[in-house]
Parts: sequence; C-alpha cells; structure tokens
Amino acid sequence: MENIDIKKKRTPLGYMLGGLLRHPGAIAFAIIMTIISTLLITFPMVFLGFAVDELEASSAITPAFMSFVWYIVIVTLVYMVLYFGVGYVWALVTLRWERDARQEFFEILQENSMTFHDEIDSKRLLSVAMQDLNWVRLSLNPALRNIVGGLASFGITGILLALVDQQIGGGGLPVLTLLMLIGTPIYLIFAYKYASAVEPVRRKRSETMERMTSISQGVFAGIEVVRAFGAEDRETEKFYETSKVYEEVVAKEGRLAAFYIPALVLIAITTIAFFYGGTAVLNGDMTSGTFVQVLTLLVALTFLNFQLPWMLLMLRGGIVNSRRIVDILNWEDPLVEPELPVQVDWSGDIAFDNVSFCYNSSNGNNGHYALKNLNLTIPGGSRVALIGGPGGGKSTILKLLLRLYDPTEGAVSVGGIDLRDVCTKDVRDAVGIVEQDIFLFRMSVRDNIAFGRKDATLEEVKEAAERAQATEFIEELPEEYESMVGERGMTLSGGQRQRLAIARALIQDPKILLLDDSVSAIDAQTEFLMRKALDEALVGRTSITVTQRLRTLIESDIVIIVDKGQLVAVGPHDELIRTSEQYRRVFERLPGAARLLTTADTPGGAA
Amino acid sequence: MGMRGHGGPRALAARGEKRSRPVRVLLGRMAYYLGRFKRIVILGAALSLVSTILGVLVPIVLTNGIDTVAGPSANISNLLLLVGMFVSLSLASWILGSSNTWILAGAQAGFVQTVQSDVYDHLVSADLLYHKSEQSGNVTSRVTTDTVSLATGIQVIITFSSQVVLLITTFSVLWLTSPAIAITALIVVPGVALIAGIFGTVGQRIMLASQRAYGAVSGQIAENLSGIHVAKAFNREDELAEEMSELNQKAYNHGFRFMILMSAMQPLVRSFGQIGVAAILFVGGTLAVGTAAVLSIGEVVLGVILVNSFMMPLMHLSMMASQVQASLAAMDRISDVLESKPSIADALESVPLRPESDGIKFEDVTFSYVEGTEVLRDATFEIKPGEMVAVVGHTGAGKTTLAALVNRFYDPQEGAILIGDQDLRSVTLESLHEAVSLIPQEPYLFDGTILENIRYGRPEATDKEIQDLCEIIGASDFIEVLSEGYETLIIEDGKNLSAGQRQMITIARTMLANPRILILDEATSRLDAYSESLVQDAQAMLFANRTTIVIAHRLTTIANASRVLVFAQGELIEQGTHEELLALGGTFKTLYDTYYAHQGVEEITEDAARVAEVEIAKHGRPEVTAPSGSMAMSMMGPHSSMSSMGGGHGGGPPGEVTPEMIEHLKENLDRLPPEMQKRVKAMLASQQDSEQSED
Repeated sequence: MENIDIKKKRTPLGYMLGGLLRHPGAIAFAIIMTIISTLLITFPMVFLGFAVDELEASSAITPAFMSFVWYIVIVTLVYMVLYFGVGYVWALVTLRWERDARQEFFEILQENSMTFHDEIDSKRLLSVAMQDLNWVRLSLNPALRNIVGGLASFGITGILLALVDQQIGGGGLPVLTLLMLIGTPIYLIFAYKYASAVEPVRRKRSETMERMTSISQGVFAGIEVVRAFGAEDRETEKFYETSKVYEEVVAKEGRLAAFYIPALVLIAITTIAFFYGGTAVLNGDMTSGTFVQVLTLLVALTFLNFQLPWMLLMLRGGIVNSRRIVDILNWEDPLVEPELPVQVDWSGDIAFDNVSFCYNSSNGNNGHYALKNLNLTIPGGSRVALIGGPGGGKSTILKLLLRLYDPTEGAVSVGGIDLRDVCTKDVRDAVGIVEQDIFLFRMSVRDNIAFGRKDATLEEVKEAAERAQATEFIEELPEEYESMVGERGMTLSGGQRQRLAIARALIQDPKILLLDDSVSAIDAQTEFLMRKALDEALVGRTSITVTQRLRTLIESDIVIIVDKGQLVAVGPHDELIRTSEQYRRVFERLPGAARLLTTADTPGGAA
Repeated sequence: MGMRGHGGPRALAARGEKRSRPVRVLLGRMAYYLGRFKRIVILGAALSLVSTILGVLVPIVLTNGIDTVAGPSANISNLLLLVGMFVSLSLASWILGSSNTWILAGAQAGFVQTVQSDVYDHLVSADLLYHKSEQSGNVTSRVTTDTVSLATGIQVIITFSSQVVLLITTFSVLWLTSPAIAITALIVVPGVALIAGIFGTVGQRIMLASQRAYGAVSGQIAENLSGIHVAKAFNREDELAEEMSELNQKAYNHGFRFMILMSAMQPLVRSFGQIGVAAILFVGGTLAVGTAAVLSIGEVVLGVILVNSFMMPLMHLSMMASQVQASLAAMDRISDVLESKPSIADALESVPLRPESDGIKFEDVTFSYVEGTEVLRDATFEIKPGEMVAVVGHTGAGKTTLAALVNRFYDPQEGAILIGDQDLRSVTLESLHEAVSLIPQEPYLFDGTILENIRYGRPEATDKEIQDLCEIIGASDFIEVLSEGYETLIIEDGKNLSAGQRQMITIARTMLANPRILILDEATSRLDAYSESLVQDAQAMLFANRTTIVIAHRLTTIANASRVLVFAQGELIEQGTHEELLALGGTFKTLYDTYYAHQGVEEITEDAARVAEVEIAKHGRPEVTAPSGSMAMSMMGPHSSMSSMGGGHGGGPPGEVTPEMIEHLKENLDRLPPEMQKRVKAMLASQQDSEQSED
C-alpha cells in the first residue's frame, strides 16, 4: 500500500527528469566531468594553433613543437578515460532508472483495480511499459548526455574565443566574444523550435502504429471470419488507408531532420569569424596560429550539426513518450482501501443492500447500469446457483464479492460488515474464485496449484489435486507436478484446466467460494470427475456457482436468476420450477425435460 | 482439429536463426522494391554526391584562407573572395544535403508502405494453413516490425554510395595535398577496424542477449496482465512483482553491458581522430619546415581537419555489415510470406452463384491436407434448402474440414460440392461468401465498437436496422447496459464481455449478413443454463428457413436438428433423426452416451463415465490441441496401438486405458448396458489383436 503516497500527480517532464534527480550527486559529477572532458577534447585545437605559431616562428621542428604534438596525444588519452567514466555514470543512472521505472509501472498496473484493466487495452500497456519507457530512457541517454556535451562544446568554444579576443586586445571590439554571445542563443532558440516540431508528429506516429498493429492483428486472428464475410477487400482498404497515413507521418518525421536551420547560424558565425580573423592576420593583430585555432574550433562545432538534430528530436520525442506513461500512472482508482480495516465473520450471511453498479465510462454516468437496486440475502453456508442472461449481472455480482470493484450505490456486506470497510487483501484471502476462462500461468503444475496459497507444501498441493480429481492426469504428465503449463506440447484440455483451477481454489480454502462453472463441452468421464471435484469443493463453505449443469440447479439450496441487472427470481428449484416462467424456460428445450415440467406443473400452473 | 497439419505449413512458417535464402536473392528482392522508387533514389544519390563533394571543398577554402592571409599575396580582396566561396559552398552543401534528406525521407516511407501493403495483401490472401500454423502476433510483426527494420537496411544501402564517394574524395584531397599526409591519415584505419571488430563480435552478442532479456520481461508483463484477475483474486501481486523484478534485473545487467559498449564508442572514435591529428601535425610539420618545405601551414591544417572527416565514412562503412544483416533477416522472413501459397482464387470462367441456388450436395468428396492422410473419404450427402442438419463425430472425424470445404477455403481432391446445381469451383468466391456464412467455434470479435462488429455482416446496414435486429434476438438488453451501449469499444477479442455476449454478437452479425446457407461450428464453451437458453432461442431464429449445418456440441442442438450426420474417421457412417439414430444403437448411440447425455438432468454413473473414458481413449479427446514435441512422443510411445486409431489428428494425450481399468471393465461387463458391453468387447478384442501383432 506504500504506493498510495507515491500516487501524486506526475508531470511528463518531472517524470523524465526524475530519473536524473534521484542521483543528483552522480549527475552533477557526470556533468562536471563532461565539461572537463569537452575541454580536453577541445584543447588539441589550441595546441594546434600554438604548434603552427611555433613552426612559423622557428621554421624547424623544435622541442616546443614536439611537446605540443605530445600534449595532443596525452590530452586525448586523458579525455578517453574521463569520457568513458562519464558514459559509465550516465549508463548506471539512466539504466537503473529505466529498470526501476518499469518495475514501478508494472506494480502500479497490478495494484490498479479491475476498472482500470477493463478500460485499457493490455497491448497498449505492454507497449508503454516496453517501448515508451525505453524511448524516455533514450532521450536521457544518449540524447540528453550528448546535448549536455554539445552545450559544453559551445560554452568552451565561446570562452576560448573570448581568450583570443583578450590576446588581440588593443581596445577594439571583442568581435569573437560578441559573435558567440549572440550566436549561441540564436542557435539554441532555433534548435529548440526545430525540436518542438517533432512533438505532434511523434505522437501521431505512435498512434498510427498502434492502430495499424491492431488492424492487422485483428484480421489475422480472425482471418476465417474475414473470409467468410468476403471482407478481404474492405480490410485491405482499411489497412491501406492507415499505412498511407503512417507513410505520411514517417516521411514528415524524416523531413524534419532536413533543413536544420541552426546549421545556418553556425555558417554565419564561421563566415564572420573567417573574415574577421583573416583581416586581423592581414593587419598583423593576430598570428596564423591563432587564426588556425579560431577556424578549427568553429569547424569542430559544425561537426555537432550531424548529431545534435537527432539528439534534440529524441529528447523532445521523449517528452511525448513520457506523457503517455504519465497519463497511465495518473489514473485515479475509484477503489480505495479503508483507513481502519474491520475484521469480518466470513461465514456470516452475504447481503446485497440496494446495490447498483455501473461500469466506468468516458462520458460519465450515462444510466447504463449493470446492476440496478439489487436486494439479496444469502444465508452463510448455503449452496447457491446463480444464472442469468448474457451481461445480466452475474459476473458483476461475483466481482463485487471479490471487491474487484465497489458498488456505485448501496452496499455489499458479509456478516453485516460493508466490504468497503475491509482490506481488499482480506477479502481475497477469504473469498475464492474459479473463473470461466481458466487462466493458468506459465509455471509448473505444482506452482499453478500453489498459486492459491503461497506457503503450500508439495503434500498439500497433492492433496488438493486429489480432491479436485486431478491426480490421475497430472501423474501422466512427463514430469508430473513439475511439468510446465503452456510449454511445447503441454496443452491441457478444458476439463483438466478446470480441475487445476479447482485444486488452486481448494488449497486456498476460502470461506466463500465463487465458481463460474460454465465449462467447455466435455465427455461423460470428465463430467463425472468434475461433478465429484465440485461436490468436494463446495463442502463447508458458502458457495455461489454460475452453472450450466441442470443437476447443480436441482441440488442447490437456492437458485438466483438475474437479468438486465435485476433480480428475476430467487428460491429453491422445486419452488421456481412451479412459479418462475424464466426458470422453466431453461428446461424447455431439453429432450425429456417435458416430464420434469409437467410433474411440477400441477400446483403452480396458474402462478 | 485436423487443421494443424504436418510438414506443409510448418515449412512455410520456419523461422530459424539462419537465413534460408542466399544474400543475392534477398538483395535482389530489396533492389526490386527500391526499383519502384528509381527516379527518387537516383536523384537523392546524385544530390548527396554533390553535397558530399561540396562538403569536402569547404575546408580547402578555409585552409587556403590561412595561407592567403599569411602569404606574400596577402590582400583583402583575396580574403573576401575566399569568404564568399566559403559562404556559397556551405550554403549549397546545406541546401543539397537537406533536399536529399527531404527526398529520401519520403522515398523511404513510401518504400516501407509499399512493402507493408504487399506483405499485408499476401497475408490476407494466404492459404489458411499458413495462418493456422502461425500466431497472429507473429504474422502482425511481419507487417509492422520487419518492414521497418528492412527500411533501416535500405537507408544504409542508399547512403553506401555517398559514403564511398566521401571516403574516396577525402583521401584524394589528402593525397593531392601530400602523399605522405594521406598515408599518415591511414593511421586511423586500425582504430576503426578495432572498433568495428569489437562491435561486430562482442557487441552483437551482447546486443542479442540484451534483446532476449528484454523479450523475457515483455513476455512476463504480457502474461501477468492477462492473468491480472487471477493474481488479484489470490492476492499474489507481490510474488509476481518479485519475479518481474528478477527478470528486470537480468535485462538491466545485459542492457548495462551494451550501453557501456555504446558509451565507449564515442570517446574511442574521437580519440583515434585526435591521435590522427597529432600524427598529421607531426608529419605535416616536418614537411612544412626547412629549406625543402613542400607543404604550407594551411595544407597541414587541411590534413588535420580532413583526418577527422576521413574517419566518419570509414566508421559508417565498417558498421554497415551488421546493420544490413538485421535487415536481410527481415527480408528473409518477409520473403516467407511473399512466397507462401495463396489461397484459392476465382477462375476466369467463374460465374456468380445464382440467387435460387440453395441446398448443399456432397458428391463422393475426398479431401486431405497432406497427401496420404485423407480427412474426408467419399462423403456423399445432400442437405435440402431450409433444412437444419447436425454433424457429430469424434475428434478427427472430419467435421471442421466439412465446414471449411463448404466455404471453399480448400478444394476437394476428388468429387464435387454443389450449391443448388452449381459446383463451388465454378462460382465466384465473392458471391459464394455472400450466400454462405461461417460462424467459427470461437466467437471472434474485432477491435472496434459493438456496432461496428455487428455491421461487419453487412457494411451498408443502418444503426436503426442493427438495433432492431438486436431487439428481436434479445441482444439489446445486454448491449444497452454496457457503459457506452452500442458504442462500447470491444478490446482484446472482447475480454470485457462474457462468453454469452460474444456469442450473441456473432449471431447478430450473421443475421445481419442474412446468408442463404449457414455453417455453425458450435462453441464448445458453454454458458450458464439461463444464458444458454437465450442463446438457443436466438440461434433458433437464425436457423429458421435457412440451410444450416451445425457441428453440434449441445444436446439441444442435435435434438432439434431435422437430421443428424454421423462421421467417423472421415466417413459418413450413419444419418437420420436423433430418435432414429438412438434406436439404431450404433456409433451415434455411443457418441450420445459419451458427449451429450449428461447435458440433461440425469446423474452420471461411474460406469457410464468409465465407458466414456474408453471411448475417448480410442478416438482422442476433443478440444485438445494437437500436442507436439517430445512430450507427445513420450506419451504416445508406449500406447501407439491405441493412439494410432485416432486417425493421427489431434490425438489426445491423457485418458489412456490403463490395465487396471481394463480389468475393472472385464469384471463389471455384465453390469453395463448391452450396447456398451458390445463396444467394450470389441475394444478389448482389437487391443488383443494389436498386442499380438506387435509381439
């Protein structure tokens, strides 16, 4: 629950820079080292100038000249070591940030209630967790790292040129200093503008790519449906349109790199310096060596034109990606943990008190209720069968009992205590579920069963499997309990998965068991085992079973029918078969059920 | 079932680490696509050539300036001339280079789009077996990721020529300045070779390891997100987070190594460049002094500037190989798609299906996916217009194949399938698919709104029509309670909907299409009793007055069918009404006892369950996807005589007949119903036979 205080509103920029600010010392060190190493890599130009002067002055290879040559080599080697250190620190800081950010992102996703997971496509969550986070990291390292280096180059070049002005002296205008003082901001302003242009383009690119993936994945997964409706042309056209949009966006982004205006600023600066330096040498105010220094320093700056545009785009693009992450992280969970959690007698009665529920929607509450004013009491320890129309509210009832959601209005209580006052962890310890689409993890059979309780021993796992009638097939698996589910060849049938899920629920030993027992078509043997497993599972607890088994309906203490979010009928089988038209409908289509209906018909026919 | 063939599709889907085609073929294919942008590419190459040469001229002007102002001919007008040249050359180089980037960006995007559309077209019309053998995610990455990495390689190839020109021009200028300087500049070559060598070997390895580690993280996130409800229900978020943390740490370790390598690259390159500067300064200085000075100061500086720009193309070219390699691998995978067998297409003489053609006739139809394994043998039957027929049989009996054949996803090897009196091979696919609808076993929904999904059946239907239709079949009740009603977005194949809702939407979609002929592969996953009855009602409306084949899994469906066709190992062996067939006491009766009887209200006896088990062991369990790999082998090995009877398709692993079970059956033979007694006896006999023949 420690992430509650973490969950304050985040801003894209803050999120991005948060990675650096976590280690301010390291980053400050890296920046200082960047400046020093930039200085070192700029120095050869200065030595070059001195060497040229030395050559001109003495017209021979003097020891002084040789020492300048050696200085270049030494300074370079020191630079290499230092700058490697800089890279090391940046890599350490930014990659750790990426690792932790991804972990945090994942954990927050996990903590968010099901409302969140209903709303947001997991494909998108995955691509944000992998790609977007990666792009943000790229925008820090290498992009920001190189931009810092680039800025240092500008600064150091400026200072060195100012020193040249000092050297010339003579009370004249410090032309080179002014040139850099005016030129650098202009360069940076244009560079910033240039990079900003990428933002909308990058966003559109991400969105179009997402759409394209969604279209093709949908078509290829449902290729039979596409063909059966003869919709190939329609689908091809849809894809073609999207890929054309993508083409446009990609071309646009690629074109942004062309006509890099700041390069013109540098050309202007170099031109003026060329002319000014040239005249100064002509007038004897400047030596050739100094002139060489000025020119080579500026030429070195133009090399930045190759790298800087990309880095700037990457940095600005990173903010877009950062926004996509932050948008997800800032999602506000309507489900809140109680401040003073209450303990519950889980064997008590379950009561739905005027419960209404409405799934979150983008246009606010629009009156579409999944449950509407539901009133219902289930005595503790009873066996309940729950049936109802598609989307009629069955699964919502189960989800509310697990406190995956809170009701929009009214309250769900167990033993007289509103579930809102109970920690979700406590609810889920006491309430177990076997869902309809059984989800098994890519773990061993043993771990999948032990998923129900973390400290379960192998003995307990085996016992649960035994009670769930799963022992027989598990022992036929190549590595028995250690066989990995979902790996090559390890495909389990629907009935087998169901029994594993029952074993998983049994080992948890919940006080309230929710069972969605609408399984795949199975043969009589599997059915037989399933019924035995279920009988075992329902003993000694309150159970609510959504079922397609007519026998289960007959054997339950209470049958509940919900439809359109409302209670249709509730009561034992014997009563409902007489009084409820909807309940009778369930049996109508079955061969041989006519007998069942007519025998029941006599007393309640009029009802 | 049955669709997961052997050999054929797997060969198509092969995706080894090694490329399956020679480089020449792959490059040829790239060149072919590039050829469609011939003019633009040539224009771009020309532009980049000129701008490259201009770029090399700029330092010559600058260094000339150094000599000019210091030399004997020093005057302001010469300087001005050089400054003018500098400005115009710089500007021209900038304009040409930018135009080149501009043009190529468009060409590259266009290139990607062309390949994407091409791959997509091939995939949409690829043989169904290809799709069955590949996961949709893999197929999608052919269209999205692979085309993009192809483009990266293309870019490298396009820049190849300009880099070569840059290299040659720079070296020539150095050589013209002084051969000694040019040779000195070569000092950077070993450095470049070293860097390229490290990246080509260790770097590649680290990169691949790092990609794999990140892949593992991605896979884990994907899995945990789809199982999020389970993690929540069992309070196991913390453990999953811990597992994630381990994988994340691993990915970090690999990523860190890679990053360090990348971070080392920049200082290495620049250091080698500077050492080159020092060397040129020394050699140039030696040549520029003394009485026999052959070089001017400006020329020395030129050498110094050019040695740095000499390194750039060298680096580019030496790194090219690994970049192009990734792209060749992508081209190889894309080629798999481009060369895949297309599905059936219209013949030239195809005619539309006539509106009055109705009813289905199979005449001696024999079909196999793989030569030698007939899935359907001499099937002959007729379904009259408006009749609803149920098809039943064990796994591998050929039921799903039947459905695929009526849709003409495949053509039979022998015999003919007719609608009315028109052979399927003589009608256009478009008219066929208009008249025939298939509802596959798993209700499939597209990403989009509910309305869009239903409209898929008939694109021109109005909202009102769709709503009325949903009202009639009873789907509107649940659609209207969804958060956005008909506009609710369906995500991830309807994870936000229940199985019943998904089935109702597919029913609505098909009713909207209003096909003359309907083939329904009934969903094996069943609904709760009440939803089931509503879905059955909706289905009844769908079936009314429509020629219908249902591959039945529900008791109610076979009970309500006008006829039941019973298939066993590809042959039609019994047909008649539900009651007739039950009275007949043949294969249908066993099938009925095994799969359908318990869907009613009766209790199952332990013996009935055992008989079912024996029956299934003989034929393979339904809905078990074909096992592959070592495990299936080890399971089938000792019992090959049993599983070989399943026809080889989707044979089921568990549910074997143990000796104990056979003993039990023998002992209790008398207590079984007569029909089951017969089956068990037959089974025991056949087992003895096969055991003898093995000995």
